Amino acid sequence: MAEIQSINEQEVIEHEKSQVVYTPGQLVIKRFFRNKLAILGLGIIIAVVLFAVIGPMISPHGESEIFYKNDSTGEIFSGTKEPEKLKDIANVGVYVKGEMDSQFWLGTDANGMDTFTRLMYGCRISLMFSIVVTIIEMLLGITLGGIAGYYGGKVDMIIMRLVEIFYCIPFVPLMLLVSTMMVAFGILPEQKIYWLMMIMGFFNWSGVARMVRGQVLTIREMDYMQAAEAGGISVRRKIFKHLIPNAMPVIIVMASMDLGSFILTESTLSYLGVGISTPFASLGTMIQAVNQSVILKNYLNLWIPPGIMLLLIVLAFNFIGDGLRDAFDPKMKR
Amino acid sequence: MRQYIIRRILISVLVLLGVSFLIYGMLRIMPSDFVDQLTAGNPKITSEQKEALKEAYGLNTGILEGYVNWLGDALHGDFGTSFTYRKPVTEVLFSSKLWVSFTLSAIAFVIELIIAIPLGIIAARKQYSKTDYAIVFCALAGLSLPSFFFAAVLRRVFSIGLGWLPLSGMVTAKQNFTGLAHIADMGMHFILPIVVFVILGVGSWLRYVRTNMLEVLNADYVRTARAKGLSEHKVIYKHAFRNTLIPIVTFIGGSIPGLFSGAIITESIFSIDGIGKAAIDAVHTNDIPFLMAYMMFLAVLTILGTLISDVLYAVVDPRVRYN
Repeated sequence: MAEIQSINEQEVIEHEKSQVVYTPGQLVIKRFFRNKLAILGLGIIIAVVLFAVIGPMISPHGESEIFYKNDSTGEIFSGTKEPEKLKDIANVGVYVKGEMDSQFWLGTDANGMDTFTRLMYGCRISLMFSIVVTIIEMLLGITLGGIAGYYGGKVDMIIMRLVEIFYCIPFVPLMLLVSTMMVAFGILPEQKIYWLMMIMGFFNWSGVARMVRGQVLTIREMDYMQAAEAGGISVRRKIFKHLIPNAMPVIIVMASMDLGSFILTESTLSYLGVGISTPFASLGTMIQAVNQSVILKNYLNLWIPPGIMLLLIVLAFNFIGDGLRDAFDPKMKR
Repeated sequence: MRQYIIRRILISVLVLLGVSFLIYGMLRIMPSDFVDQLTAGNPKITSEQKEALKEAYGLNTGILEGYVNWLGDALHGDFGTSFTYRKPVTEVLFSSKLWVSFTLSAIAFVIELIIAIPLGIIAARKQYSKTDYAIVFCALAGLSLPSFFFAAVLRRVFSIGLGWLPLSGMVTAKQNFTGLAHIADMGMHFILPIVVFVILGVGSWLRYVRTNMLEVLNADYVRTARAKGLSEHKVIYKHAFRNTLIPIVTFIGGSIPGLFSGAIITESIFSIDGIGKAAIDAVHTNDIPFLMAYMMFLAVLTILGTLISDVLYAVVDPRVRYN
């Protein structure tokens, strides 16, 4: 009898040992990696990041390095590395719209710069730009949305009206106005990018704030929140231990989607000529070359690659966002 | 109900005041003599116009006083004179340009709905199937497409490569078509822009229809309908789809004002004479009065959109009113 009991106990222990217990975090990761589109998105982003970060180190050419061609000798050389060769003024011309070969994988653009190298820098700028803008937007949105949701009443009322005001301001026309203003202020093109980041972050927080507020309002009604309140914990602990961690899924999903959409907005602005401009390379300014009908018609190598790159990056962020949303909460609304 | 609508309208007015103050304030944080700076390189502008501009924006007064003056004029419909067109801004805004923009977006809008609603329903009915994945993938791809790049590809393929469609503009130059031929000619020019609108816009509708349909399909009354042995067709179209219509109708209602807003990028790429293109032209000529009025106009459209959708929601769904 005792023997059977001990065997039973043994079995129970073994059974418990064989049970795998997942934390909620692990469950999310498991669900995320089950989504094929999300993995594809993650793969694309990793590839693009490697391309944008490591690429410029390997590439023999610089971001705004201009190449020249000596027509009499047929020699192609860099204007910055071998300036002495420029002296032969009669025969030397900028090597524009050069063909694709082993030295220039995607040819050279209308300014005589290497397209492939500029593509790397363009991706880098676009990624960094959108990360910074997202951080600014999130900081503003989470703070204001959190305050509105947590305190309610008049504060909520004021912040929500602010949200509506910012929501109504059309962004691209605003940037058109801002860019004419930047000309009036005499802001240098090199500094323009920082201004753009700040303005873009500042005018896009309303969506995040609205979302976070809604989330905080729901969480406040939850039983565990009331239990926490009954336990008499401090406001600080309540916010940082309960409210923010529980609102995190929504915030992360929103951030990943916004990363993609800001890249799109930035390149649109650059395309319109009111965004990032020389000396920086940007995917938008690279595609802008299609405005010359010769390039649109004959030099596909100059504008198709940046376009595809842009599409891939935005698509990847959308896939990741979608995958994360499903992973965090399968029932969460799209 | 009436009280709710009145309250919403009052809030909207408040928000509009805020928006206008922000837009006006932006103008005022510019360097004091910005009018001179902006107009320095523009021979089209006379010194009288400069003075009029300074006065219009109250640059010689304090910011609050200037705002009140500007607002007073704006309420009378006076947003200043456009530099480029030498006409009151409102006249430029509410001209044929607006209707060109509206026609384009309205046609695209209808096509989007025709595509998105059936496909969204199919995707929701076959959730996690290959069809569903394909539809979701296409929706996301459309949403991620940069419009200027997509437009360039279309122009390269269909206008330059195949030569089927005109490259840009609204009518063929030097061919003074009249009557039906004129309309057909314009139609040919509108095809590519409309394709751009539809492909880029259909994705969000698809997702919206699919999500709402999924939600309804999981509802108890759909299970009841199935349990009592109704045909699948009846369950989907009589019980499920009609309930999905609630959010869809409100969303459609809310989108209608936006049809007037014009598309800056698509219009300028295809050189279509709508207000979006007028806005980008205004940037090149530093036409500040036009840009300001355009922004206010868009803000009003946005507010109108949310107002319509909120009110429609309460009208269509009686449950909303009580809670």
